Amino acid sequence: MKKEEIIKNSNYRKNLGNFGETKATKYLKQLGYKILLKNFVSRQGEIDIIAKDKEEYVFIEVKSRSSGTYGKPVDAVNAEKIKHILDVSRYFIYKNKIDNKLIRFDIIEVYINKKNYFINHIKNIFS
Amino acid sequence: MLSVIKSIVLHGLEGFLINVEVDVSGGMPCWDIVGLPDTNIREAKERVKTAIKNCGIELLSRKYIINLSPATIKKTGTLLDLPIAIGILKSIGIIKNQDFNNMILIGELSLSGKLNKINGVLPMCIEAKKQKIEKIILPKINAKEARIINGIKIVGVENLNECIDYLNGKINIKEEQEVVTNVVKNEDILDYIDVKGQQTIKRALEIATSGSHNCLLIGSPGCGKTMMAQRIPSIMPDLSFDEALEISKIYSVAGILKNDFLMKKRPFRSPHHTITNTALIGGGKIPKPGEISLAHMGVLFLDEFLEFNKSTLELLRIPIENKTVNISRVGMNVTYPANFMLVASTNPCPCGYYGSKLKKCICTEKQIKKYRAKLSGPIIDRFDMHIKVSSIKYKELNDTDIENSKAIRERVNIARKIQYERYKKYSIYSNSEMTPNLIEKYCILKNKAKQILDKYFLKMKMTTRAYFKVLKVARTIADLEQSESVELEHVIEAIQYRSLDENED
Repeated sequence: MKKEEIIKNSNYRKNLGNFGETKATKYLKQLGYKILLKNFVSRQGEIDIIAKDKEEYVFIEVKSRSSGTYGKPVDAVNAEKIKHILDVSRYFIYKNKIDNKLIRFDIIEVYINKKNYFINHIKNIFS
Repeated sequence: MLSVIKSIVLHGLEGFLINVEVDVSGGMPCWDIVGLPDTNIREAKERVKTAIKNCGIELLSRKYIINLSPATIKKTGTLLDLPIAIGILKSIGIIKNQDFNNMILIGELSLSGKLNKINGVLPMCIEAKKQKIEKIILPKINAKEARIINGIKIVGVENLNECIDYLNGKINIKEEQEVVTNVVKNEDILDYIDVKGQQTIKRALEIATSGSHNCLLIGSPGCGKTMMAQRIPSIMPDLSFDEALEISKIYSVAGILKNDFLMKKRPFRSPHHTITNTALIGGGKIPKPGEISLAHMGVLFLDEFLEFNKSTLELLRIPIENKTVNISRVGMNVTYPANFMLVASTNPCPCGYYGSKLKKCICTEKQIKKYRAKLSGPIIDRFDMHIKVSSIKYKELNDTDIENSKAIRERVNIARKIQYERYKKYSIYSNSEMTPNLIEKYCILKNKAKQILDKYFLKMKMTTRAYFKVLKVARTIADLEQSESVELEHVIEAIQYRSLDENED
């Protein structure tokens, strides 16, 4: 693979991810979630969206896919990724002193076609 | 929100009241069960989660903490699924306004929310009643078994949804009706009418059964040892309700209680001689009752006694004397009752014909000695009666005038009833359980009888234990004859059943 192609490729993936996150945010807003932060980064890792659903703080991982070749988006959230999400959320909880508030972890899958897209919201991944 | 549900776990044969405390709160979502749960309680988590979900109730992302108190006692069993589920539902507000103070919940959940059958319901109900609990909610399939205990409300539920509706007062479930459980007499297929001749042996077994004495049958092959031993159930005394309950408790815990929910017959256990030590005595990580406990209040018949492992036989020493067996494992320490009547049968030598009139014994002296060595002194000593069985004569095969089991059982019943009355205060049931203290009180010998026994004792160099055994057997013989005191002839007959003491001399 030539250098240019690699750059093109990584750009494509970045764009795909950004596209998914934008669509997910839009979707959440429609549902009445209050978006607190996007792409919260700490040394432990990154969380795509932190939102508030009524009283509940929701930490959301967005996964986008443009084809089914590499499995479903949710399959890409493996144990390691979950550990990162938990670590960052713990840091966020500590920083904002929300230990005793209601907390939830969600995954939003974004399936993208050439023309349209489709969102699958998995609530409460830990039960 | 915190909710506390009462439940019960088993510790050996005893139920033990515990509190299932459930707290659902905010914070990092997690699901923890604390309070020394065993693996099968830890697994309740997945069953409860899925069952609640499948009942159409959404479990939100919360911090679920479940504590089983008192937290110092190790708990085991899947029956805590229901109280945990109900605790959670109460905490999240699905179940409202219920007072769980006087109520016990037990039950295992399947993923669909259906309640599965659990073991050991009987001892749990007994304990619940003792603790003045008013109501028990349990799987419907167990309700009939629980109903044996009167004076407590029993509600059998089919599934989790039904249980929720019942607790919310939406539906009414009919409580199991109280029934008077009778212990019925049932006829056995095997009857002593099949046994030709052998009058003396039948008499000996009658005595043994009346007083629940351990006996050892020695005889050549084919003389009818096994045949007669197998017919002991047909002459065993009827069960009283308390006894039936005690036996049923063990069977309930072992999970082998039959459809009629109350043991109506005395157990007759005859394990094969390849049995392992654990299967005989009981054991396992969570100690389960073994054959000796399953034979509680009944007969443990060990056919081909000397073919058993020597170590296995020696294990019987303590349970025979104590009438209980204490099993200690890392996890827990339980005591199971083991008040059985041991009936053992054996050949006198490897070829089987030593002392027989029919055939010549072909064993060498050494072989016989080796064979008999398995029958150690302590074990022989623990048998109240040694019965030598000889083959019957040909003409006895045509005997027609044979007493049937029913007639024998009537006598046995009378003798046992006398014993019940006598030992009411001491919470024992038969002569064989007498303590030295009671022997002194109830086996008073008159002059001549005492002289004979003293003489025999000195001559045969009997052990003190054997001496007391003779007295116990004499007491039973006296009871069979409905005689108030132990007379000379009773003692003489009892001495006859110590034939192996003579060999040692």
